[in-house]
Amino acid sequence: MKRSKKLQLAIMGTAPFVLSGCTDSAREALVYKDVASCISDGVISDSVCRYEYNKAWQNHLMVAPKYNVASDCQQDFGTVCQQLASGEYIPTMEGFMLAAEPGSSRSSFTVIPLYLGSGGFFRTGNYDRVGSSYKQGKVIVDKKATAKPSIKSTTMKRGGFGSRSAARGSWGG
Amino acid sequence: MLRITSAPRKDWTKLAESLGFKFHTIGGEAYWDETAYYQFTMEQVEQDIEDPTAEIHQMCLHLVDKAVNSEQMMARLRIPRFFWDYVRESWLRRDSHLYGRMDFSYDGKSPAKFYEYNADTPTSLYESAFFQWLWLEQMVEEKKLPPEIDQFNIIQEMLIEALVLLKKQKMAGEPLFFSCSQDSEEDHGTVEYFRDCAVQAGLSTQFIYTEDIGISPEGQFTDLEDRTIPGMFKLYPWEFMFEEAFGTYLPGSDTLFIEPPWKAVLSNKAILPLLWQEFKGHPNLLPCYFEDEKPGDDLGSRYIKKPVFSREGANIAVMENGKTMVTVDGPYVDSGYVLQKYQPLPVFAGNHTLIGSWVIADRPAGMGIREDNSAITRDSSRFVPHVIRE
Repeated sequence: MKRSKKLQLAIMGTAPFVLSGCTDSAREALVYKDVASCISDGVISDSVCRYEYNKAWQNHLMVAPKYNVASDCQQDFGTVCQQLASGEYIPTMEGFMLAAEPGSSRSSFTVIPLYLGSGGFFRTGNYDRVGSSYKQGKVIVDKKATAKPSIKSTTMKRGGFGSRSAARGSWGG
Repeated sequence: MLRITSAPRKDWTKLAESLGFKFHTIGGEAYWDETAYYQFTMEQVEQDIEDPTAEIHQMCLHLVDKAVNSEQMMARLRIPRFFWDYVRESWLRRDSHLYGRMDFSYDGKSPAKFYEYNADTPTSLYESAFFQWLWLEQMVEEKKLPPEIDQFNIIQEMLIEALVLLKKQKMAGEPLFFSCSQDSEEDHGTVEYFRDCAVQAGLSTQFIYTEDIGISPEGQFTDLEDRTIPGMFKLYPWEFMFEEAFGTYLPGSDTLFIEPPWKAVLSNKAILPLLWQEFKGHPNLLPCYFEDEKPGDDLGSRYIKKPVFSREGANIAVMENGKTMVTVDGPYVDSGYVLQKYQPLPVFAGNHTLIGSWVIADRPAGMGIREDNSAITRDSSRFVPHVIRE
């Protein structure tokens, strides 16, 4: 058979269904507790270490898990939790993770702030475990832990795309 | 290869509308047309369409690899210098790509001739992948066609497979945004179909119009709730994005785009003369030259003049001995031209027939056929289903 045996639509059709159960594969990443440990590991340059650490720090306030009650935060992260102006609690950033893709330049590192969970393990804001805080440098993590997060931001301008008409593909000539 | 007239299914328009296929009729003219179908042999499909598609796709990837490392070729492709590194890095990272459609002229006997590769924003996906498949299933069910009949169509299945991989490797639980311009029902239908496949692949999805995309003070693209956009499927051509106000933010943004920036090399008609330079004489390629270079004798006295950036047949002219014979007006006048040897479309019962061959990830995955009353296939053409029958 040159055609599929069975096809369905999930949102356009009348019988929605969703597939599930795909496994995540592993990916290499770099994990450091601070700029100094990043520099002493020697894998990436001093300036990149600083640049990425600052980026992680900027992301931290936006991606850190937020709790209404300090004790809930401490139970998950066991560290000192800080209170935001909004009254919510977030764990302190205790490290950062860099995930690069083969062939990419430093600008395409995905940088993820890390927190300390129980047993001294680094955790992402989504509570994915990404290695021990006692070990710095290369770790193997679940790919899903390194996905670029959607971060609450602000918008200064819209309408910078779409000035041309619809993009219907051509059918030759 | 035969064109066979056929009775339409009863109430098919109602069915189409209930399945989100709202553009089955465009501007009062039939677009989906099941008053006929095309019949191929398995050998015709596999040897004459599927194999050349796989081969030309590989030839194209070879050229992308060459082009991103050649300033001269990037300039020829009219990719603005500002984006050369952006396109190059996207290729070096092997950013995932999902789909493309090659257009062929094929009459069932002689080698299929490759017209062009719509590798960035191809449409007619829903009707090729889903509605055409459903037509055949129902025709067999209603016993209007025999059960052993087939169709070259694993497009949706492959697409979902590619999207599952994208989720695993890049997106995880982060939302993949789907976007198109506000003014086209057809584009919106295509994007919704893509999103449907993504939902089936387990991705978390959102929709945003191209015009609504925002930019944050940090230079990240944002949605209507001011959240950053981790990944976006855009049915909007790279060559437009490169030129527009937000283009300048592309290289610094973290958004993963689908199709990826390196597809800008392929969706571009300047790839056609470059292909001919590299693979001169290939049986599926047509001789092709840049307008501003001296053409080879193999171009012949009849040729097609195509703008480097053009869609839906706009601004294409048929030339003979330097004179314009047929022309289609359109907005694409400022991008330079390529000249391609004239290869007329075959005519079946008065219709000019064009084959669209789909590539999903890196594999040929199916066919869709369009017919037009004129020699140049335009947005007014009709989509006609096909079958394979021995």
